[in-house]
Amino acid sequence: MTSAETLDRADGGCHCGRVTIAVSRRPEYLNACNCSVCTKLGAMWGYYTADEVTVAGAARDYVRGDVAEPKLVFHSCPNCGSTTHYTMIESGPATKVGVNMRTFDPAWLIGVELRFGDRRNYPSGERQYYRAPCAFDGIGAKA
Amino acid sequence: MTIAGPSGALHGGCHCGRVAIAVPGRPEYLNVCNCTLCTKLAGMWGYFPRSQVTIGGRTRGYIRTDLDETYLETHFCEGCGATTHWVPLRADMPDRMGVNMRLFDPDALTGIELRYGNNRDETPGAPRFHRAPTVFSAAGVTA
Repeated sequence: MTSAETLDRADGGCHCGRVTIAVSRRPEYLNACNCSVCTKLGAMWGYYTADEVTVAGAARDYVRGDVAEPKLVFHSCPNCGSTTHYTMIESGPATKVGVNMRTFDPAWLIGVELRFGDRRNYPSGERQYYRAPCAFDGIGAKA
Repeated sequence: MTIAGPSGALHGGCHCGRVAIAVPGRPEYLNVCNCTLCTKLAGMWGYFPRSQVTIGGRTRGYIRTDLDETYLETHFCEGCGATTHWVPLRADMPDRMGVNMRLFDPDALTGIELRYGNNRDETPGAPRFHRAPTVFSAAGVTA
């Protein structure tokens, strides 16, 4: 369990505990993307480089098959179904990792800017937004 | 992809297409519960009698073990990890199941009341909801 006092590090993970994720800091911002994958998985991403994220446990991989050139591998717990993170298909220590911040204590994320990326209508190019940003309030799953 | 049929039935499904779900119509309301399970699985539930929901394809069930008593089993797609639905475990529970409405076309859900059930704080006298209700907007995933 994390708390507001430990802002520099936190442990998250799936519900059943088989997949754990540790990150080195709070994310710069949260992103509730509205593309079809992020909507159906219900993810709220925080972004890190691969060397900032420690994953333990065997997650299942999913690469979407409905686009010509998928770039991401989504990972979920094979036992409870929690989506935990995504990695880039071509990855290295400095490549981006999306961590599903819903698998962390919401109280740890209070005040982090929550953005609403509109990949549903703008699948490529500079990110557009479908709602104005707000501060994550931690009371519950606002996005 | 969701298509509203002539009867008003809604058809949804997981992202990879292995699991399809049909419900008889729009749910009375949507519920974003803040318990640890619903938060991590990011369910946005609509409730229906079990006999009125059709599920095609194979799902995997998960029964949480972190409570003294467990009332329901959540299900997800083993291909993409999307949470699909939950079913009650006890015979004396109401004829009701939860369907993850994130798997349906958001446009088909516009205008439905969105509630925020509070099941994280279970102390006596805790409020039933963790936020005031809103109206679901297809402009993006409000919840």
